Amino acid sequence: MVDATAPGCDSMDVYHCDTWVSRMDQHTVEVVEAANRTLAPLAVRSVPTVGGAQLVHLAVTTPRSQQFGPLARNHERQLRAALGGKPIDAPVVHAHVGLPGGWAALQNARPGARVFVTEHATYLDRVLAEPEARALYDELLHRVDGFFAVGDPIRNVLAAEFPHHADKIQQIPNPISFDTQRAAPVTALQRWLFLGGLIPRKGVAWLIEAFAQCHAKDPQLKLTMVGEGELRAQLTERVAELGLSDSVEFLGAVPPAQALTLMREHDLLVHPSRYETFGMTVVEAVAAGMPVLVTRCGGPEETLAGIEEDAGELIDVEENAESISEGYWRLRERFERGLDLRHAQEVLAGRYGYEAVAEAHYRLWFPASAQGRSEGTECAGALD
Amino acid sequence: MQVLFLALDGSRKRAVLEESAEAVSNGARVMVVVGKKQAWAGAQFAPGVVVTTLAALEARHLPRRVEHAVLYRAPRATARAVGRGPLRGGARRVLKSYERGVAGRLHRKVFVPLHRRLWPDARARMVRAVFEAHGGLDLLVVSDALSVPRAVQLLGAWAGNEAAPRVCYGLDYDAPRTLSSR
Repeated sequence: MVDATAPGCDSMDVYHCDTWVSRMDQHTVEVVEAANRTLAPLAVRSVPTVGGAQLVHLAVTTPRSQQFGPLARNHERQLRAALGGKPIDAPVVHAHVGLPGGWAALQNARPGARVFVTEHATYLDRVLAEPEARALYDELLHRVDGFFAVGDPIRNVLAAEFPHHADKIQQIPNPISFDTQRAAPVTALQRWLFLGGLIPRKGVAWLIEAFAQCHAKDPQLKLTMVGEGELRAQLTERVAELGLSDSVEFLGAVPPAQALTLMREHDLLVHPSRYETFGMTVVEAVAAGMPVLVTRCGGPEETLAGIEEDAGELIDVEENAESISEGYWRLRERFERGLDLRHAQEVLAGRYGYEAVAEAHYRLWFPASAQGRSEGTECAGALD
Repeated sequence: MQVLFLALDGSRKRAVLEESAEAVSNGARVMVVVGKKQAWAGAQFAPGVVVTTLAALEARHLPRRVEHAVLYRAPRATARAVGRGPLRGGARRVLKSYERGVAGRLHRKVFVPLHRRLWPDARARMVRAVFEAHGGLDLLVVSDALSVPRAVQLLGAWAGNEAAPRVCYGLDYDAPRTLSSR
């Protein structure tokens, strides 16, 4: 978002409040937080980041299993300490996720500043299950100047939970870069790529089984698993049991730039997630010229609406491997007749490209100067 | 460029491993101070990264070395001299019993508190001393929550020193300017 929107602002500061979790008793929590109030003014400096923005990295010391309400207040306090007790010096503050980021932004914004929040948290149900967090969320929705969900799954949850704020919840997508194209188009769907957490919600166990089924028919297939998570050891063991260690590679977590490079080096993104609020990886894959095999898990069917056949193959969320493997063979058969990835890219660029998403933000942030944007863009604060 | 990572609770191991490797690859001399080495037993630090504990650094202070010589080295030498032939097994048992029951207790209950009372800044000085031969510590990277209070103590002890190190929460949020400024 910063890369897309910062170039249109005179200046932008990004506060990255990094939750540092440790096992601590209450006394230690207080000692550590007090020490961090001393340390933060010394350790926090801004460094250049994407789009010409300045990035401020702040460690928010946090006890293990802190609930979302206390976590939001913790972020609020520690951000205030890092700011030296002064409010964020920006007329516009845009936070990502309601709790903790949105709450911390709201409580630290200067008087008169306009505060916006974009929600894309996949853990929103857990936030709203906690009474204190739910109350803070309600107040947040009441006080912010604009509130945005990245897709219908999030908007529907919030509208159902807070019907009195339903009209305030608008939609704005995550921006995706369509600038860098792969050197050569995909010619065969042989190099599969998975990008995401190795966790049950991502459907990775079914992916391994489905890959094994497909590999039995076409031994040339390869699968690269990118990401970390609780299932890594189990998946690695299963791959060895299946005799696929030479065909499946686990790369662990990689930086975002490397993930995009990997997309340009593989033939097919397989995204068998059980639930996604947006499905950014899917759009990034199409932007990288890569067909996708993706589940209808909330976000992706919305982001790919109208171009499903051009971009790849959508499959239902089913608790089996066959839905994935059968989806692969259907896609492979269609691929030989030709997809229309270029058309898919054009459509997605119009929806989620930097320019489209940036303009949507500018209209919200600077309504008075939306026509020419000649004034009011001098300082926009973002909280990530 | 000399960089000290303070990673006492080991809750952000991946970040510490990656950032220390990055610092070494940029030509820095890197030391990582951990709480307990056993907690990092499976961790693969990049070649060139020195891993130690605060206790090990503090033990380099002269009074602590004297204490160690009196409490441990001298009795061990005596046990070696006396424990020859048939007395070897008995001498070993006596030494083991002495170290566990007398030396260890004296160390924990008397010498460590006394040492910290008499030389409260010894730990900070010993940490810093590691880097002095090569021009001093340039950057302190505070890497996890439990390291924050210790970092504040170290910085407090170093306050007034002409070349206090810069401090940051992560190499990526400081390195470009610090590396280029040296």
